[in-house]
Amino acid sequence: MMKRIQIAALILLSNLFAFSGSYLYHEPPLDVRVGQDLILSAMPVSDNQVVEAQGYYRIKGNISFQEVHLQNVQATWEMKINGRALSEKGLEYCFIFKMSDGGMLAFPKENPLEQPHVLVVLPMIFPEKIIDVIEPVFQQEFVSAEILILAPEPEAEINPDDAVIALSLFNIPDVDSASIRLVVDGKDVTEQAEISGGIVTYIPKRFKKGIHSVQLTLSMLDGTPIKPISWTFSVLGGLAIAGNVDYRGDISARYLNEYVGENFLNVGELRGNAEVSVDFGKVKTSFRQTTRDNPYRQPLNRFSTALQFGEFLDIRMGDFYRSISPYTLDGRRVRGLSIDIDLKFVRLEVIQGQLNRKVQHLNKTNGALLLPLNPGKVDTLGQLSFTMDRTGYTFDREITLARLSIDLFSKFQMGIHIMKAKDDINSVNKDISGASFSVDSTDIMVNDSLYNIAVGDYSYNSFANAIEAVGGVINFPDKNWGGRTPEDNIVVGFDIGTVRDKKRLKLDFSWNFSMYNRDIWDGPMSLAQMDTIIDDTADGFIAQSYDEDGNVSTVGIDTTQIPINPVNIQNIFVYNINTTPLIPYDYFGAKEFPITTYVNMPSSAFHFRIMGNYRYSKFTMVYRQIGPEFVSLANPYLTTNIREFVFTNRLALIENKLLISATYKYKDDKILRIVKEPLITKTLVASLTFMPGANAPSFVVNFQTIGKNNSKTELEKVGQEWQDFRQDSRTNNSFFSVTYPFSMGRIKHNLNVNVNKIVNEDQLAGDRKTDYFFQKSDSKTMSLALSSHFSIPLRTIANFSRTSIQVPVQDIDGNISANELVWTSISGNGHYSFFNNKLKVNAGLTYLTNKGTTPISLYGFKSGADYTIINGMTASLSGHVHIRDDNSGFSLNTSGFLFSFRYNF
Amino acid sequence: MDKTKHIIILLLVLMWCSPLESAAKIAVTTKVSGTVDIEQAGSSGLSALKPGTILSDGDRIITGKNGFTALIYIDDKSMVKIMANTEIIIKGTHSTGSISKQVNIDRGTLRAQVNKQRKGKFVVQSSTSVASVKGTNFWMITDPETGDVLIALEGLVSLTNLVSGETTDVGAGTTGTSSTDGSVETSETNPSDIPTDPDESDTPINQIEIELEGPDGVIKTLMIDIQ
Repeated sequence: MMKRIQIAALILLSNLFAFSGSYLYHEPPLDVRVGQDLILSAMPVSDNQVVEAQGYYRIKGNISFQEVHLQNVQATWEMKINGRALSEKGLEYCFIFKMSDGGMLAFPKENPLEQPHVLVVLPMIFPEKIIDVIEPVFQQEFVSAEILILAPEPEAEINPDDAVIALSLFNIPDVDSASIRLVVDGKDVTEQAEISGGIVTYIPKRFKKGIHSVQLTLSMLDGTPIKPISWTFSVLGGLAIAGNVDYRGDISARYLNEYVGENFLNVGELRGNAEVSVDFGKVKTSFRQTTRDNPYRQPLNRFSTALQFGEFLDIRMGDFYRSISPYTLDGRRVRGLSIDIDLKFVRLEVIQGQLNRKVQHLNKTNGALLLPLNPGKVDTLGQLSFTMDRTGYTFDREITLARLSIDLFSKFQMGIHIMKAKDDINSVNKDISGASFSVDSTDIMVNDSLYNIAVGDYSYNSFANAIEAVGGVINFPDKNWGGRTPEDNIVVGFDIGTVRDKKRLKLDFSWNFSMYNRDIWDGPMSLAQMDTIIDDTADGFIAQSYDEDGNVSTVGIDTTQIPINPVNIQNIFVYNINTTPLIPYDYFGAKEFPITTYVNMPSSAFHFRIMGNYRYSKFTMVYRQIGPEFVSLANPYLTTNIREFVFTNRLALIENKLLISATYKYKDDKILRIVKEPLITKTLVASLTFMPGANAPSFVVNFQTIGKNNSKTELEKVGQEWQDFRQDSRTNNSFFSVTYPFSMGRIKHNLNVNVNKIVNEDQLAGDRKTDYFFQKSDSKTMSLALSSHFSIPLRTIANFSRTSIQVPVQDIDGNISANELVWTSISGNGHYSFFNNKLKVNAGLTYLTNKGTTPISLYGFKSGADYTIINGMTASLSGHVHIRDDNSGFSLNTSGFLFSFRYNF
Repeated sequence: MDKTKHIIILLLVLMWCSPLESAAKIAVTTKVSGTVDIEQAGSSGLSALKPGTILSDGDRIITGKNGFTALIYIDDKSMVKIMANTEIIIKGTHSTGSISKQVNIDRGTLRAQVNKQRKGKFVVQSSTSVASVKGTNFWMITDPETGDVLIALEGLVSLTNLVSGETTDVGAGTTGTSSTDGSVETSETNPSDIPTDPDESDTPINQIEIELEGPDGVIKTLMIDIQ
């Protein structure tokens, strides 16, 4: 330390001799490499003798210098540094000479130990690496300045695509832009670089694999040169990429014990996730094992593995959730294989797997075999027989889906897809050993004769023996069981889209058509059978009609002209009398209304959509129509028989602090021309959200009005009475919320108030009879929440809410009144952390009561704790109890506890 | 006549000066892959973002399904990495010796590697939350329908829910959740929830060490560098 002070003092003194004419000549070396010994030499130019010559060096970034006594070699003084001591990080060094007159010479001249000279050190030479020459760093009177290297970082290894050279001169005022000179690999590229706003960027056309050097020289406006900066980086290529392997994952276990309504539920579960990634791809795998999984229902266990290779290939195996389109597969679980090859301009997605797994039977009496209604009969020969039926099963449902799409110049997209889902009839066994079924007295009554068969539970064999004893036989068919029927489904479609207005406007259109067979037990029909699918006349024409004289009144479809025999395509689709649609479109209507008929095919689904994405406004306008007979077994929850128009727009103003949105939706079910009285629903939503910022109150106002009209204008006569089935109602839903943050001392609070009101109006109230019963309920809800954040690690939340519902009731005399149900709840919860968040505990109390026909009060208590055992390993325990108080007194409503353990790695 | 002349001169001066009032340059894109578009402040329409583009205050960046870009601020090398299906507006105003930085994220995922700020805080704002830091490293995942997830990797992030005004500090190894219903929660980060950074170049080359014990009990270590 003392030595450093002495040196610093000498440096100060040396400034006094700055005008004496003495100086130290040193030329920094070029081509310094790891592994090659380095000799640094300096020559003092002075009339005085050198008393002491010291050299100092260190790896760039290190704290300590290595001190070396310089060796006098003729007129120069040298310092030798072993090549193995060098590093690609760079080398910092300086010289300090004590002179006989008490002065000092140093390089760098000022603060040599504080601001040593920095040498770029190139990596060790390998045969395949090309050495690039770095221009010398000039020894001039430089001023130091903070030039920021933005990219690439010194010594970085980058991919060729990432080769951007960028520097920032933001922290250097008064730079002479005209003086900037950028040299890359020894070549002046200043003219090709962009120099603007204190930023220098250069994007080379192509960088070869290997080491590259960059040097920037510049000066101040007054001409003073700024200390140049130079560095090197490596460009990787081909398979020589040094990949980084990263892995992570977690494993967790949980056990739940719950008591609900006199039933106990015990669930144990084990989950795990793991991911290993390298530069060119990654593997992800996960699993879930739960005790709730059993062979009598669809699987709850999950296993999945995904392989992803960059952006081009995505392979998933096991359980996965893919979304291709709303009309085919839209997020439903598939167990199988998914391959997604995306080459940007063309993309192929293929999915093959299982939508449902087979379930042979249910685990209960009559869960596999049963006797249908009136199972016994006596045939004309007097033979007694009992029919046995099969139930409780689910077929394997296989799915195959393929989609091919192209993307031209990111402006035009087009795709086609086909999806097939089919139940495998052979996946369910007829014989189920151990299955039992019940036989009661009505089952053994045949033609008013009661057979001597004991009532009770039977297996198949025991029942066969009992039947045989009374001279009967069992009739157990191989198909057409009473349980689920096997189904078949195929969906084909296409979509086109384009992007306009500099990608701010997107238009797309998608059209789909489905064929669905709700029962394929009997396989496909023949062309001859097709003749009579609509009419009963076997004339070789489908739906051909005749007048009283036998002349053709309506020309049907000639079956000989049908190009496809259903028998020949049964592996693609099973076409028979259970197919929807039997004829894909209105054959006769197409002649009169061709366009309307094709567009409104009952088995088609399509949409046309325009989406705008502008700075302050995002809007969507869509027209969607899904026919009543459109079916996708991969998306069974798709709403069908609708046509709707939706327009929505969101304005984001004042930097997203003020959001104004509006939505208009029109929906009806008038797809087919035969629908005379469509149900029309019109919805208008307007909302305003104002969130000025942190610590300021925020407001949300939302108003929604829904009008429903079933287009009926007249009363209808049912039996002898006129009934009023007209509907013209309006539901107004208004919501207001305000949040007010405030502080009291060191406690921060947030008060949140919500008010919601739903009012229903019968628009025909003045036109109806007084005893008309309008059944919709009005409601009001008001809630308050106060959350508090204390200076100690305590956080509390208190809630109060009150909901009242006006339920209309009608007595037997037709008088109408309203029953008011009022629910009030109060709750309080708190969280507290101990040991620097290592232990977190929470507890809460709830009280819920109602006023109405059946008053009930519920008292609840819950508590829990999370404990971090070691970093990444957590154990949690929580429990709850709810006590019910009703007319019969206090009783346990629900209780339970949950223990979980988790380890992240 | 003089009045008209003065107005014309004033208009000419304003026209002349208008380029000088262009948005301040604040950052540079260092990497771009996949579909990434930019709507430059003051201009209309999207165009493909390229590496080396100098970004200005108010520029909007939208990444597509496979899009990724990294941008770096020019005053302190704070970096923002924008993942696929993300939409942001990069903001920044020059003050003495530094840039006051803000990123408005509409949707998607970003990673902010923020160096210590000389003045003010680095702010990431969504329609649900505001995250502000002095210097740290964190992920922010924004869904305008559900809210935000903030995964802090280093340092401390102050996360404020704009709906409720509630604020919480999210420290390294913890995840903050800010929901559109106004709630703010923190929990220990599940490593598998951390998005993958396609630009993770700071990770050193991995090394596997295998200890081998010979029959004489001498343990030797086999070190394998994984490349």
